Amino acid sequence: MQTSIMATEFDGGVVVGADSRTSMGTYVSNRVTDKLTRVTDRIYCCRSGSAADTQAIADVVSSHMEILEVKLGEPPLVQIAANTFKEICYNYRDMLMAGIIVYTIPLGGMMVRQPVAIGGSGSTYVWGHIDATYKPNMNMEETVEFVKNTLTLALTRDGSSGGVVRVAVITKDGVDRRVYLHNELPEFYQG
Amino acid sequence: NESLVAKGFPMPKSRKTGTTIAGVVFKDGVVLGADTRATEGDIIADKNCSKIHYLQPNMYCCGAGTAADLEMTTQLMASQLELHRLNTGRQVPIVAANRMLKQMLFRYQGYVGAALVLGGVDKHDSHIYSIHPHGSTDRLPYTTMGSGSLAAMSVFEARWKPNMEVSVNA
Repeated sequence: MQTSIMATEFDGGVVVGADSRTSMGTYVSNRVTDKLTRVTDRIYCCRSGSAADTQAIADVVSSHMEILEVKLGEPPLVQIAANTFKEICYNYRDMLMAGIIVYTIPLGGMMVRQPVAIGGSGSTYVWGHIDATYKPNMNMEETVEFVKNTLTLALTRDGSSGGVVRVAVITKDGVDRRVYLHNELPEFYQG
Repeated sequence: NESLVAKGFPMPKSRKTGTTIAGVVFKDGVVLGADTRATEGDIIADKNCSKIHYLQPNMYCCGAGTAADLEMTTQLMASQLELHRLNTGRQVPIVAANRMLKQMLFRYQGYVGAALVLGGVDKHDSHIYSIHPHGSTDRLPYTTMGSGSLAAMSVFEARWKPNMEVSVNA
């Protein structure tokens, strides 16, 4: 499942976004995939790499977090979810093909906290855009625009990304899921 | 096995069903469809085989891929789901069948050649899931699998609308 995924922090929450294409070779097997997967009510992860591997890992971590919530008496921290992902991805690195952004856990199992994280095959096209455009301390609407623009640029250039842009805004009050269809995406230079 | 092949005894080929299976959600539930041809290389082994497998009264599963794997997997699932139903005392939700199938297929890392279209109706909603041999699943309003999936998908993409009536589903 080659992809464009990203996540950005803002003051008050996180915006995660992804494209919606799952391809098997040249055939797009699902053009409306949801790659933003719920781990807990307030923790979402973006999945890239093998669909089977990442779905399986996300399910395991999700049930682990549910059990932990009962044990701790409160929802677990993002660090714990990220660490659990890391343990699985690192220890089984030879058998899995999974790049997951909770914070960022690319192929291989390295875990790093960043204010902006991008991943997937489409991410290569937008590192420059991120460096040029990202400013710290954006508010929610600006962050959503930032994520939408970045994903649109990645989508348009990466053959393995496409479909719609799915965005989830996570704050302490809950999760706001949005879908941007093709005609709602910003227009860029179509050279 | 290799020593047998070296002696001139050919390996029996696993019978792979070249297949078209499809599932679609409509207004009152789901429709599952499949062809009935099973092939062994170029020969038609079975002209009228059944590719829509029973899992529970409220869910059926179409299968493409290796015929033996499909039979065994769906029969195993059917009995596990029946045990689940007896254990919980209620109708089995489709998500449960989806989870059990994907976890089993993932465990076998794709060696169980079963590509499935699972469909059914439970107290929550009508569901169609496409399940791939490696264990990834997608929940979709319409899906196709098998060697004929591209042809079938072209029909769906052209004609599917949400909330269709039964008679229009051709």
